[in-house]
Amino acid sequence: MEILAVLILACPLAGFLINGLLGRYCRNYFVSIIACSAPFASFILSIVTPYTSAKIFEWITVGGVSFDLAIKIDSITQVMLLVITGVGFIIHIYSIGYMKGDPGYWRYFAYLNLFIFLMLLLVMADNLLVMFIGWEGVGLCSYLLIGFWYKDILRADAAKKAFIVNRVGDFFFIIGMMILFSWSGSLNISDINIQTSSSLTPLVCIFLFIGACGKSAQFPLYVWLPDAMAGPTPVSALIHAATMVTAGVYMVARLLPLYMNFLGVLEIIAVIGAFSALFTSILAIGENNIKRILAYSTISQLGFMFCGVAAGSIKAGFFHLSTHAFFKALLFLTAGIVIHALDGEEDIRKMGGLRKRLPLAFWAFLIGALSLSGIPPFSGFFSKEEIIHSTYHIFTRFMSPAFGYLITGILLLTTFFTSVYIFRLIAITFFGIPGTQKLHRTDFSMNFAVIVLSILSIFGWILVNRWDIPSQYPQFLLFEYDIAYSPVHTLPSLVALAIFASLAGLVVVFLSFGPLRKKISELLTTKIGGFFNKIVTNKFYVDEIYEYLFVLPLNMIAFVLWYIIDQVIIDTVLINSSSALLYLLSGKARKIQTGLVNLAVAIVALGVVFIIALIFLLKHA
Amino acid sequence: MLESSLLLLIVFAPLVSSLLLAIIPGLKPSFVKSAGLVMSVFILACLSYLYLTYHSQSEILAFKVDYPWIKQFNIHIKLAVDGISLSMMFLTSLLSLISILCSLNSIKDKSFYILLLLIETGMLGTFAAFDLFLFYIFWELTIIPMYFIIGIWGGPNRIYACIKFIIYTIAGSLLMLVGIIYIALSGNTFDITQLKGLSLSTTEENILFLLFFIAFAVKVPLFPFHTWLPDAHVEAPTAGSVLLAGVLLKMGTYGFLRIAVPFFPQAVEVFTPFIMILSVVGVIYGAMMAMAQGDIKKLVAYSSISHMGLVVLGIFSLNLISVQGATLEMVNHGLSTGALFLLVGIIYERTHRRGVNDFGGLASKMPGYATIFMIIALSSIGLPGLNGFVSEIMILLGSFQGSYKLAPVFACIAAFGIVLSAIYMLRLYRNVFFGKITVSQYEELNDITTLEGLYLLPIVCLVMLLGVFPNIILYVTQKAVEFII
Repeated sequence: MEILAVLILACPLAGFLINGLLGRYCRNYFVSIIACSAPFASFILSIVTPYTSAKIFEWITVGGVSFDLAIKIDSITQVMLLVITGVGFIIHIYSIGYMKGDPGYWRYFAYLNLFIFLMLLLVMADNLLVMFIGWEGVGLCSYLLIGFWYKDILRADAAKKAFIVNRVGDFFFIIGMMILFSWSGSLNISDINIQTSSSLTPLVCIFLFIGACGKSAQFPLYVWLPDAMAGPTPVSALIHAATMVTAGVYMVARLLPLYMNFLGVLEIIAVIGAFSALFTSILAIGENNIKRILAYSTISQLGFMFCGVAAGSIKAGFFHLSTHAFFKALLFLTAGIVIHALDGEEDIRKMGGLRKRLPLAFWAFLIGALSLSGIPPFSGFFSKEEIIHSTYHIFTRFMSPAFGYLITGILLLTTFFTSVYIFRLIAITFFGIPGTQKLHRTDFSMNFAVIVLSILSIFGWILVNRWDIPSQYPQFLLFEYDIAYSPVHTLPSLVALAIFASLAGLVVVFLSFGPLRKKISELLTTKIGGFFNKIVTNKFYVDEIYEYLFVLPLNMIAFVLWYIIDQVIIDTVLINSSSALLYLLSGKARKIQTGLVNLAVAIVALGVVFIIALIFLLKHA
Repeated sequence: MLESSLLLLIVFAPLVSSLLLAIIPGLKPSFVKSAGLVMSVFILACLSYLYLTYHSQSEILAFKVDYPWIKQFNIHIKLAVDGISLSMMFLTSLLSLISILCSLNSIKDKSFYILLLLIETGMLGTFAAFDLFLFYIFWELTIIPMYFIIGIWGGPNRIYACIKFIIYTIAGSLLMLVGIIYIALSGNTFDITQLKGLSLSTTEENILFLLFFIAFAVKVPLFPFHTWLPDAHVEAPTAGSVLLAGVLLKMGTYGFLRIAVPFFPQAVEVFTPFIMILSVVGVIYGAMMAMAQGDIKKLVAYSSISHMGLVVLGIFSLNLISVQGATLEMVNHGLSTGALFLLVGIIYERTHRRGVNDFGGLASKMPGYATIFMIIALSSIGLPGLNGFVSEIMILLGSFQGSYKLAPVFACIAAFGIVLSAIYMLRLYRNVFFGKITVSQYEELNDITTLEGLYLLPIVCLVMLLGVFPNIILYVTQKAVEFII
């Protein structure tokens, strides 16, 4: 059975190697057949492979410690495997049409396969250090694909920003691993999860969580994700919506037994998750770039997942992770169709009336939007319900009622804003006055992918519900958690409230584009309204704050230090002045020595004389 | 026995051949070049053989050679290798071969290749010598040829650079010489394997340690003894930079491992906090300096200071994981930084420029070059899966558990180097490779040639191989490191 698990990894790696080494000499259809069959094969293998674990080889061995390249498939890994290879495969298919005619066709598919390989390694790793290979590796793929059209320097900048912000997170990840290792002597996940905790454990949990914030784009490390939209749209769908950004959620879920020891840490995660969810849903309302709106939406939905996991409910978190992968990939791919049809236009203000001109895109986007905003009976509704319920039950009972109400309240409010931004997007893009631009034809492969994801966004919840996601880690959870959390424990009032929030958002959008249109624009011209408008459309100036707080000072300090310490103090004051002194003292000798070589010979001769003198001393000692 | 004579041959063959090439009159440059190439390929092959046979040896010190040399002072020609020397010698022979290959087109003078062979003996000898006097001779033997290489074939400001280089390093090695003679006086032996039995007073030990420490620290170079390095690198020809960064700097850290750490345990304990501070400062400071540079070679030079600071941190944390990590990092840094200098050399040869902002958009004109540069840059910033990460994480994991009470703090600060290295390296990559071609004459640039590919390929392969199978080296160095600490 181990061989199957290894094959899951080997397929996309082989795809990467074939396309990476030979792709440039091959025809495009060959490249796409290789590239698409890799995740498809892994998908089939993921379905048939039973839970298993395998040690492939010893990676680093020092003394008695060994970091093995070991993999393990259990229930939550399997969910990830199905999402990564399944959604990954659909997006590969879509890419065939989207990237048609691009000179970097083979390069694109090679990167995509490499990404699938590293993402699978991340979720299958049974050792934190091995997980870190995947963790930084997918970051590299993200870097390469964001900057895929590197001739545009702004895209290259976005890629660099993504990598560096992620590196900040990874720095904390590494610190977390160092502390963990110093106290437990192992980085095997199976070992870590059965460790009894020490006083340093909360610190480990927090540092690892900051690492997760980097990868999963949570506050305050979310700033790279909106910029990452510079990459090709299928990449945004695959990496920056469905899979890579969920790695942080996965990591916390994977180590949940460790986190469970400290309710305080779980509270922090819930607060960060809920705040990120709310904050970015507000930012999305003020944004006019179709992909950036979806990027903020992704951050917001990841916040939901963190809240679910922080409530100890892996089931809620992973349920939402899966349905989100369906509907967010759908939204991105449909946005891709729109952008493709409009020849690269991403500003929704320059779109309009596309409902009639791109009917398939309209209906697909609407399905995605309904699912995202949590309106029944679409998939998103069920998973969001699960999260809101588990946070409500667990937090009110185990933290404090006030905390429970706060988090649940924020999530409900976010649901309202979610509905506002996504229907605003639909209203501006698909309704209104149709443009007259000539539309590019959509490729069949793109339509196919969108149709499959539409079906999943509606009915996917039935499928996911049948997956074996553990509702909890039975042997590790406190006994009380078992009682508190049970899926049938549904509060009708909470469900009603959530549906009400979603519908309210829809109504607000309808009103503001219909009867209240004038009132709204008047409101935005008043002093207070204008102030809020300005702040939101400028994204709360977070990028600017970071620029002045970190980026500029760091560069300034580097330059000043270099000038003062290296140039002035060490070189001028210490070195050059002492050599000038020698120069003065040896003024006479200098006249004899006419060249550089003479100086060298003199130094060597001096050395030799010195040695001989010392040896004589030695002899007589 | 065969292996022992092979070791003797490895160390002295380049010396003999360089002397012959220098003495015989009327040799054509092309003959000297090919003789040098044949010699370095031969040495590399011999070392690969020794590397493969080493693990069947029962003792840590293998392939011993011992001939009395200057009898009245008990000085021997004593050569041997352990796992650390062997991996360093392998790196040396590889980079020596590559440095000849990378000069073939640009440098025509015979004497250049003769000097390269001379340096090769010096470097190999330093790593194989187990007699202090011999060690010193080999150590010096690397400095003088390097001085000429920078001074004759260097850039416009070469005189300043090479004088700075020689003053720093000669000053350092004279201090070491004093130390060596003092040790020989008190123990009546130059044999490194017998130094453990020295009975020294605390003061003596501290002073001796400091003498050696400064000599090695200048070589590494450890902050604040580092300012010779950027100047030397900027002015040196590509081959000089490759050997300097790839091997010569490691002689300093090798000296720590071979002499300073094992033989002065009390002094090490006294000075460890101080050295750890210097090395951590070096890690951060070197990386910050790299951010401030406008010259690619200077940037790489400062990044070396940062990485070598990490090596010293690993060594003085004195536990198995960190010291193993440090030895591995010595090899890894030699590969990645050596390759970076080669890459800078390639673009400099074509354009006669190497400013961070002189280029732009090269990825579209030189895709092969851009790919290799990317792989090497990622190795240098420690991307997991490539070689640099393994050694860096080992140093960090190990030094976090160092015996000194502030060790965890130092390890955390040093870890921040990974963020800074990503900043300067990716900024460099963006400026050089991304965007549109800025200067019209760069439209004509050719991608890497077969020769360039030939000497970069082994490094790229090793970078990937050692990232996945670092045990190839760790198994060999294990016993030697255990013996030292």
